[in-house]
Amino acid sequence: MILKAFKQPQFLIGLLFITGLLFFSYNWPALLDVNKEKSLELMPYKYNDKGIMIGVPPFKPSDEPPFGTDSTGKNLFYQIIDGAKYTILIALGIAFFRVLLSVIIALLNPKPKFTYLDDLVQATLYIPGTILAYMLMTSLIARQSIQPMSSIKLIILQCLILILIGVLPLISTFSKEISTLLKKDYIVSTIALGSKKTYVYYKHVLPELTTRLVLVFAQQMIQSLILLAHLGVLAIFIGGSMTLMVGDPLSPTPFTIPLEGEWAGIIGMSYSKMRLTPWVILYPLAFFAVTIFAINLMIRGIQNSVDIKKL
Amino acid sequence: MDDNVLKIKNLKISFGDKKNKFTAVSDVSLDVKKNQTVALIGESGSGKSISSLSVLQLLPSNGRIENGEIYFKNQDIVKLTEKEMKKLRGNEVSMIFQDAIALLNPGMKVGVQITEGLKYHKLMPKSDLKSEALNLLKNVGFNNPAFVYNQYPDQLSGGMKQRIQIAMAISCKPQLIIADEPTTSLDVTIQRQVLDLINSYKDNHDASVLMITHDFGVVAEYADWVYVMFGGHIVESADVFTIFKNPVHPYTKALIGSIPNPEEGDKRLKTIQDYAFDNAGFEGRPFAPEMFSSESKVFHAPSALVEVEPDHYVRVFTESEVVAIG
Repeated sequence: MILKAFKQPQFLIGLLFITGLLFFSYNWPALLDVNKEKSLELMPYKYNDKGIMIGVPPFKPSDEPPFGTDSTGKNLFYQIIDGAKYTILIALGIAFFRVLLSVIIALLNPKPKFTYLDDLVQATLYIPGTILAYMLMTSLIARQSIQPMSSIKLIILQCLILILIGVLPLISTFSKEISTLLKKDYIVSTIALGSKKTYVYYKHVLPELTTRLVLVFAQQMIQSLILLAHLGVLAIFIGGSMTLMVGDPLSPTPFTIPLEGEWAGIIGMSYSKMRLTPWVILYPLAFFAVTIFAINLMIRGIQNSVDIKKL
Repeated sequence: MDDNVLKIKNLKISFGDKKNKFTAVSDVSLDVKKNQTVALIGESGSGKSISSLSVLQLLPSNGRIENGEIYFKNQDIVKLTEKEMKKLRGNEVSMIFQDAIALLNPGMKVGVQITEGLKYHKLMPKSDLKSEALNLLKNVGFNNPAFVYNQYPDQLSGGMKQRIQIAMAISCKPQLIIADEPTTSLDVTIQRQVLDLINSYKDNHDASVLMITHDFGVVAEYADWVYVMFGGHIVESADVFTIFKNPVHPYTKALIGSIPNPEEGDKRLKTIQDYAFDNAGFEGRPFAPEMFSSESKVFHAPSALVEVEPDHYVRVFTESEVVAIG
């Protein structure tokens, strides 16, 4: 199925964009011949060649090409490129573990005895995932401020919350699909020959589910990206945040900046200044949109390859 | 239990929960002797397939054996654990299902599917599986086994698929084959091939066959003993010659009477309904055992198989007089 998808131009374009972006994100200092630390450092003021201050951030794209800077003076283009790997890999990881966990649970218990599971899942679908994630994440961040933890531990716990939020509906979906598959005549025939459950799952159920798993994985990746963007708006950043006091020294304004460079953080920290500095929001959002478009292209390519197979 | 390979005693199978219980099979007893083909005949919904599925404990999830014993080689298999049943399935008792098209995984090569049973029961090293699959394909009549081995089910005809299923069923050389309407989905030219294959396996390996069918033509040709099923009960049982020569139960007569007879020329083809009693007292159960009752009020009265002549059993009401009809 995957090999057939490679013959689909949509799938290839999507895949090339994602892998290309990841490659660029890891190697941009070498490819653009710039110093990473210097390119991403804060730039509180801008001076001309004579050492005279000529401006304060945020700078427009025309002043600091190609994308301008954010309120702290950090170059937006470099931030977006550097943050691509975190954003894509976090979304990829969340989607992967959501699918993996739900498939394992559904395989272990394809016919849940708890008959109200579906109703429960349906009810939870109406609670926005962002709200649920926000509530859990804020309590985690509050805990972190009392008992500081390493950023790796924080990222893992945050990702775990994002994974678990999406697992329940997927368990319900996969349970239904696996129970339907287990009722298929050829599975009954295999069991009539004395096969074990593990063999049935490995040889008959999982190969049948592969296409669905790949599609669900891609859909979950999109959902994760959207969830990250929403959380960014609510000032919840993966990897935690740091609060700077900016503005009038006598009456400073708190300004939250993300510690890791993922795109949602860039959006979130400048969300309140959307009217004044729209480019700080629009460029990362555009990258979110293009990435989601690329994943959608891959989904379309996979669907096309399956349709051709059916024909 | 002497030479019985399979012995079912007073089997009762129900579906649903306690509130909405439906008894599909009740008081079914049958014997399958060594090297014998036993036919279980009846119309759709009479409980034939459910009875046979219960032997392998493959009943649908809402079905259960409420009562009765199923002995395979003198061992009550109702009491076996799932692990013990797995050792039995395919290895000693195997099943040929009706719809071969749906019974083969469309995503797996048929050669691989044939050896699944051998793989589970570890009857031979993995390296020998392919050569055994080719042997089996040859045994079920394929002239080019190497080519068929690499085919997917969709690339084969209905008859070829059924032969693949037979190859799967006989791969572990079981002592009992349950053939659940193995020829129903096939055209008449292929039916004989398939039945001959099952029959030759039975003869060559001293095995037994429990054939589930609704075709009296198949019964006449291949069966040694016949059980006629109606409404979840066995209503008549005898050897094949007696059943055809002297059917007693009206339902058996109706089934035999429905076989098209070329000598009857342009006479209208009879159906089972032509034999039904048009009597409101039977409340939609035209072939119920109460036909033998002298009292129409005893609709739900207990019934039993009664020996009407040596080795010929017919279901009648136990509290009423047996009236031999025909």
